[in-house]
Amino acid sequence: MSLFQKISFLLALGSTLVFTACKDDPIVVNEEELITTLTYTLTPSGGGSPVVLSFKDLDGDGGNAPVITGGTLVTGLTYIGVLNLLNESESPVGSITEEIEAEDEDHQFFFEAVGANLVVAYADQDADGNPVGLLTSLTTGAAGSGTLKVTLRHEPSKGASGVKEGQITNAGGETDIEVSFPITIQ
Amino acid sequence: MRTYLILFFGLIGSGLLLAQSDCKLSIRGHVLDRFTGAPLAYASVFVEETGRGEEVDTAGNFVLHQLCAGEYHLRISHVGCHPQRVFLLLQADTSLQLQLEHDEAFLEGVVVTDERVRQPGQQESSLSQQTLERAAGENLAQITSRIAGVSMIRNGSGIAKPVIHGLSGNRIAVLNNGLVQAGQQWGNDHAPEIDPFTATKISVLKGVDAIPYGGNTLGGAVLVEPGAIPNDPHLHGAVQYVGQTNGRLHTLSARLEKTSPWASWRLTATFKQGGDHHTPTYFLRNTGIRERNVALQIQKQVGQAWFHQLYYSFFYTELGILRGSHIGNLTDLQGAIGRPTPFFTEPNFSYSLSEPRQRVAHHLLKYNVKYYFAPQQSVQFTYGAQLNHRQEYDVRRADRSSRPALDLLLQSHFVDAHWAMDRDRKVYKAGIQLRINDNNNQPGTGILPLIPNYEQYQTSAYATQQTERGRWAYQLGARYDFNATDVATLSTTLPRTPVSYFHRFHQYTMATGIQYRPGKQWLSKFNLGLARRSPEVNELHSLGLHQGVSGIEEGDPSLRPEQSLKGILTQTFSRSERLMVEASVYYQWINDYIYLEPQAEYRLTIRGAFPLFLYKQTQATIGGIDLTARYTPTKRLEWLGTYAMVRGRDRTQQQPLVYMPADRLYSALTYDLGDWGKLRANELALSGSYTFEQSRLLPQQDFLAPPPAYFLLGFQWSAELYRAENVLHLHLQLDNILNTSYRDYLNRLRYYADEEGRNIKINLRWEF
Repeated sequence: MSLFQKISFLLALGSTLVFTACKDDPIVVNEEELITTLTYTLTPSGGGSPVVLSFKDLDGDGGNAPVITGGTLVTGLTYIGVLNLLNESESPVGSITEEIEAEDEDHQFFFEAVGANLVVAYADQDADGNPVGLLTSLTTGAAGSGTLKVTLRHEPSKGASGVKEGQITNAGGETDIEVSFPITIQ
Repeated sequence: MRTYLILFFGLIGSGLLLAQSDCKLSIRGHVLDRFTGAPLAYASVFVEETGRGEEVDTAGNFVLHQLCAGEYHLRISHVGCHPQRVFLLLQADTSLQLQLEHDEAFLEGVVVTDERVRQPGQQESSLSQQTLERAAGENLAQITSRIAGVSMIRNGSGIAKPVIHGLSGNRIAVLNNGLVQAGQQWGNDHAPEIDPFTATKISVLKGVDAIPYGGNTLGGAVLVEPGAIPNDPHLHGAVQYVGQTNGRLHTLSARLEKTSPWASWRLTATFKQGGDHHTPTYFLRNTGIRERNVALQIQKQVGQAWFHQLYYSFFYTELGILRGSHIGNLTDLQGAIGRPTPFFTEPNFSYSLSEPRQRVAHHLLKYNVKYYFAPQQSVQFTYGAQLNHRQEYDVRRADRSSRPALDLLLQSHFVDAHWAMDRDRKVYKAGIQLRINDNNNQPGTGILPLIPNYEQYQTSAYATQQTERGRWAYQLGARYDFNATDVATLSTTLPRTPVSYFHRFHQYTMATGIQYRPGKQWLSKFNLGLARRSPEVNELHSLGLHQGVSGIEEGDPSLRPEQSLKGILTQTFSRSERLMVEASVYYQWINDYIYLEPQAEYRLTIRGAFPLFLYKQTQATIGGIDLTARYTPTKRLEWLGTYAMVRGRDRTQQQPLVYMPADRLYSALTYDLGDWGKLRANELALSGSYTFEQSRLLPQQDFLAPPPAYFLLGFQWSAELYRAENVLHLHLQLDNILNTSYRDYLNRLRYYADEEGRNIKINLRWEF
């Protein structure tokens, strides 16, 4: 054993003996702001059983992959759409929908259909008379399939061109939610 | 003019010729260039008490006659240089030897505090006090980037970190008055918490010289030193105000120092306040800064052999991060790229700070005692404690913006026992160190922490030797660190349960340097260093969204230490004070180089897709060239030019390394106009810097191609106004005169916004 090895061995041994105490367990963080679940419930305006689109990612950004459930809609029909956002990592389950209702001037949902023939119109307003998107009406066209992307922007500029009409291009702000659902219209 | 001189002053001998009661005493002096040992002509000496001055002759000599016994302050200056003040208690005819030192890359031995040794073979580049004074108001990284081979990586206007030879972050040690800055080193959006105003010297060390300062210095070490307090029984000090138009930034600093019978002390304080910076065409919203710093240094010599020093500093900053750079996901990033102005740009200036913002408080306490147990042998004991509290605030829902999204409290303790001997042109140093870092996430953020809680213990031993033998000088050094890190984190899956990791690493550094001086004109240096660096906690355990980089980062607990071999060859040529050229070539092999690799697949979250970055290891090489040249054709004119080039390569994947600085060319012409009436030492300088495009990057390595090359033009004027024993230094500086719109590859905000436009800076420094 060379001198260098001896010194390193002694130092290593010394340090290990002195510092055997290990770090205390961290406090489990209450991720109250996390959005784990989004459901978009589409009820036919004339009555009937609702179609529920859902996105669930209970453990947040890392860990397991999210579970996405799409849906099948009927051609030429209007649905009443209700968005519900939850934080299911908390107990009791937290309602993010309520947080958004409380700050509705600072939030807006956008709906973009790709491939699927459908149109989403806002059916609610914030205090300034601008759309929010928690309540919508969705009208389907001809048969086909594609995706429906739902985006939530925090602090968008609702006054920018086209934003009130549901165009996301000039909205700005940060994306809090951006999920895509597979849709079949038949 | 950069040829400024740090004065290293030695009282060679004071011979009593005659005991004189009347005013017939004289001071004889000899001024030498410390680098070449040649007499330094054209310096001037001014006696504050008498108001008389004397020019130094071409042989470097001066004589001051007809002085009464008493206390004098001599001010020694060189063409266009910052005058240095020397206190003298004159009782008899005295002769002085004054050694003046050139700035920047031409140094070889700058003596640290009271060590009176010339250290051969050093790889050191430092910035003089004059450069520091004129750079007042800038942050540490901006200041150090004046040195060839040093650049900076930035996150907007307020946050910058030094990059040495292409390496930054965990691979560089930043030392605040001898203590490794214990901050959150890991983020490029975390700037070192140091007030440059407390420093009288800032230097960059590489090779053997960096060994005492840490085992992870693959890139080098940045030293910020307050310097010794002059042995002057009067109260002296300086008050400095810096105002700049860009960001409407005001900096006010004050320094007081005195050697009282009980001890020498120095107090410094800095107050900084700025608002939104602006590019040539728009304001950068939320880029303001607030800083409050204070430092107290106390020195006491007991007897001939004991030197005590106590130092405390407090640094507090609050700074905003460009609002338009705060984005939610990849779609937002793509939307932000290519916009003419960033989102959230406002037409008006504002001092207000809103989210995203950072608030950092840093305390540093150091006690140091040095004992000379033999004339040239000393032992030194140092204890240092640091407390770093970093809070980062984000734009959040439901009034949570006022709660920090990241809240870390880091406690650090450091103990060093150090022995040094300087005998027969040989310098020996050895020491042992213990460092403890304890980092804790403060509860209440409501967000899973990116960095887990950890405790880190590092025990180290090091030894260096420097020998000078005729034209040759040798350096040899070795260091060993045992690093034990205990990590307590949370599981990635539900339910979240605590998970512990215990890491044990051996880290070592070995370096050697050879210097050869065949004559007065040539100097060759070669340094070779072998080092092994343990992975840091962020590399092992990062987990989650790094808001600053809009990517999900995941550490790898199984990372191995990095191993590096680096060679630096430096050749200096100097000729008769008029021409100096220095060229450095370096090459570094790093095995198991740790880096963040962007993954081909995006990570899907409820906020959409995010780029996923994993810490990976590869075989890398980094090589480059630094060039510095200075030419003084006449007494009044000086030209300085620097060029730096770095190339990094990932040998495993056969592609360039990311975040390598682009090539840079800098040139400055300084003209000394002499005195204009009461305005003395007028100096004009015109500078230009050209940064090349970083063309060595594959399109898939970044979201956006590196920005094009840019040229910046600068102008400076400085002068001095004397009034009795006081001096007012005036300095006017114009940056980016052409108001060029540009972006810099090493600024992360280049995705969102342009760099700052034209800036006019006024710097007033009153010394008393």
